Amino acid sequence: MTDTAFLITIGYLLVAMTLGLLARRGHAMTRLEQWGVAGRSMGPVMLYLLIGAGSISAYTFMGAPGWAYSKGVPVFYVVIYLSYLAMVAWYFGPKVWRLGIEFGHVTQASAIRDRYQSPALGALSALVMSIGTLAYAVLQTIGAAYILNVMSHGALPVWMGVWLVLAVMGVYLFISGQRAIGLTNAFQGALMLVVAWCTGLWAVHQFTGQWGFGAVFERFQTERPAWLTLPGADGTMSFSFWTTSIIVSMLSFMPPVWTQWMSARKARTLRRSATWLPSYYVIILPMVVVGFIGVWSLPDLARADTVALQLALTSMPPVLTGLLGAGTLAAAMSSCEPFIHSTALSWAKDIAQPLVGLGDRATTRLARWLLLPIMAGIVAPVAITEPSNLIMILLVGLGFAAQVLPAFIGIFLWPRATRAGVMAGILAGFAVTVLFTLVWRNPLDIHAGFWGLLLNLPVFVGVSRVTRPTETAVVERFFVIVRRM
Amino acid sequence: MGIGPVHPDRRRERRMRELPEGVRPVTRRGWWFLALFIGVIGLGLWPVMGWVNRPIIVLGLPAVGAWAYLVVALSTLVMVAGNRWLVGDDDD
Repeated sequence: MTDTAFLITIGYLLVAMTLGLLARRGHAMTRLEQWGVAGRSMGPVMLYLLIGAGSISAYTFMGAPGWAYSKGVPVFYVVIYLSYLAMVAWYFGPKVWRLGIEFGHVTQASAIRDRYQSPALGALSALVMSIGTLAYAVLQTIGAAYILNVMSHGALPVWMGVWLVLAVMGVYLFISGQRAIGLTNAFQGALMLVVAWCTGLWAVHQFTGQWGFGAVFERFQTERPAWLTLPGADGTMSFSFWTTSIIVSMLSFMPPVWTQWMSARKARTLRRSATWLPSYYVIILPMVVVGFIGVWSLPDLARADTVALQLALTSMPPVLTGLLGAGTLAAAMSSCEPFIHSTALSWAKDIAQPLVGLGDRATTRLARWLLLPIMAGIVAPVAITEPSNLIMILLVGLGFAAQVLPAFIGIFLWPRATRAGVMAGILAGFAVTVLFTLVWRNPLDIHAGFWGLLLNLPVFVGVSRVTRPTETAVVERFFVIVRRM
Repeated sequence: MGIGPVHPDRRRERRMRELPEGVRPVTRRGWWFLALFIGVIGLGLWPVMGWVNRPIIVLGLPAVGAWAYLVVALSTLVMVAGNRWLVGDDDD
């Protein structure tokens, strides 16, 4: 039984490798626009699955059931903020795409550098955004290795799983770049959707004898109602934390998402994909139900985020268990690979190229080879040590991502925004976010990133008003485009 | 009077005047859409969440979960409306 489940899980790596290599067919990866943003060629369905699968990390198969198990309905905040992210993509995505086409941007930092005419600001944003980006990639790598470890009943140690997963991703990312991410994520997205619903429906039928979810929640209503309302069973999700977490998550423009937007074939393609993107998040519902079922069937679980995998290993048919393993692995990898790819792309384009004055082909070569030190020198060693403070690094990183908001306000909404204003806002906001993450955690139950924005935005506006604006011709060429769409 | 150096404040004022205006809706339909957009975002936050935060089952889901998926549906509908009302064919 274990062998079948494990073979299906590990077999997924072969499928991913094959798809990743096939994705390159007919395309030379010698230009940044090709390796970085797939020649801006992705259609609506692929984009829908790419963005959907990319935003659904291992969290869906591990974290979401885990939150349902330990907290209850607070888990639904994810569904809401992901839908709002789709609305953000709908509004800003086509503008980002058009700016990329007109001015040749392939990364988020290159747009910032261009708008503020500051290579230093571009490099700074690339560097600091990569803190959160890489922390996220490390977390997903640990998740992927952990799944292989569990599915092999410990025969495949975590360190070996880390190297195995990174090696597979490294090969196809090097060969096919963003095209590999598009094709593998499309497959991963479809696989995850099917696996999540099969698992959820099977679990419900097994434990209640029905196919609907109602019976599961009715039992909670009579016996454990704390799971059905905020602040949840463990009392940690207050209304203020719910609200500010959604706002901060919605305003965090992560670099890989920017790259995904620029990979669209047309602005309209991206807008259509974003329109229907919220529908993808029905994927979370069945896994949440599995977490709720775990409260009754696995009451003494040491780690809440293993509830779905443990339930599968103890009671599900081996094929379904294997598919769940493959789906969870797909979720981890589909989120990990864009983050690693985007970091290599940005380090080459936004730090090395302006510093050394490289041409496009040399920058592309450098970006591809940078995958190696990023994976072998940063992601793998950090993932293998499984640092206890990694979540903290991630929270600081994501908190920072929200603090870059002024740079985007200046690109899309407010021409008067200046380089100095953006810098001052980011630094002030980042300092507050670090303080309220590391020293005094989320005062008054308000997200640290939200506190950061409360200082960041007034400082940004105030400093922008008294400092020299960017050259009018530059601002005009940006606003001619963003106003048109 | 000769041509002297321009006062820094005046120079800054001139530069500001030359800058394009910020982005905001320019039609009534655009303003309505913005209100709708913000309204849907408000539906998923406090104080609205406080009103639906009850231990009851709605359509087989906890009230908070059912509300979350209603917000998902409304997000899609707002974007569909935006595609019809606001977006022309000139964006490609």
